[in-house]
Amino acid sequence: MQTPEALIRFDSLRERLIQGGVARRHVKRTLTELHDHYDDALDDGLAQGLSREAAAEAAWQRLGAEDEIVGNVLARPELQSLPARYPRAVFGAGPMVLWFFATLLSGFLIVGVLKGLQFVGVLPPPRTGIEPLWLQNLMTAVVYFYMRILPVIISATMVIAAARHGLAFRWALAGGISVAALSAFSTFSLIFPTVVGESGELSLGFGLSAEELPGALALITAYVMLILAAAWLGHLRRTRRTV
Amino acid sequence: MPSRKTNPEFMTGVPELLILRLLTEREMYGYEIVQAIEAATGEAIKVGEGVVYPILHALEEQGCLSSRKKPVNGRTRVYYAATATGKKRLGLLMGEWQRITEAVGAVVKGTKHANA
Repeated sequence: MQTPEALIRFDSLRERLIQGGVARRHVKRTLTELHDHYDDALDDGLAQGLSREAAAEAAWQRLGAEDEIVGNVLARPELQSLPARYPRAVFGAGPMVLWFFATLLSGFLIVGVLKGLQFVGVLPPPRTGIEPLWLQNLMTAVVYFYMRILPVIISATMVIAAARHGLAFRWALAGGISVAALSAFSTFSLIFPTVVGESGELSLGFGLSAEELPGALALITAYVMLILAAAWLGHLRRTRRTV
Repeated sequence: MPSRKTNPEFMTGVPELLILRLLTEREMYGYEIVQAIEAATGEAIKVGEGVVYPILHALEEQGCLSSRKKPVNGRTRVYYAATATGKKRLGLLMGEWQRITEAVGAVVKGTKHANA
């Protein structure tokens, strides 16, 4: 049974390990085993006739100084998280890779669902009918989400994570803004057949005409503002936790 | 919080050596390892007991140790044992330790001789 003071100390230790870039599973594991060790030491102290307060303090002293424990964990690269070990790759290139694979995966998923619906008879077989309006709207919304919203979600999450862990913040910002820019300057169109027998068309592209440029610049400005807001939130969270 | 660390300048790599040595004999959990180190060294070597966990976890990541959870008296203990890789590493560390102690011993003996 831990004293409130011990719980505060363990919480402080957890925060320092997370902010030091230690992998979550190692933070959890270290804390669990330290808790158990503390409980054993506390039981020993009580068995020796110490008061609960004295036994708790003795148990804590036996664990060692917080700086010493943190220093020893941080000195072990094996215990660091992937982002802490390769911050440039994870935060710089990560958003782009994540966006690409998420979009690719969801593309396969959408095609799979459509084929499944056609197979069970909910939708007409290919080129024998026109997709219902609800499906057309749903597909347009999904493509819009992957092309315009997902990049910002990925970038914001990466920036928050980088700020929270005090890792490669500039790279996270650069990676996030790159994805946002790519998203803003990309084009897509989804054309559904209007006549039975016609094929639909999904086209994705990059680059804009002069008329589309102001819209894209407005979009990228909005994206960057959102990413910076996320960065501020991540920084705020880190500061609050540290205090 | 005061540190239990003693003679830290000699301690680099020593806990790792002691842990591997103890775990080649039988599996133990963290608290048990600390008790065993203190008992085996006559309390000459005391480390902040929390320091043992990063060493155990890093050694496990390197494949030198294996671990398993075992419920004991209502608590779940994580027991560690040395693997074949761990035993090889122990051999290397012991060789290194022997080399250092012999070298230091030679210097100390030489100094004593010069002072006599």
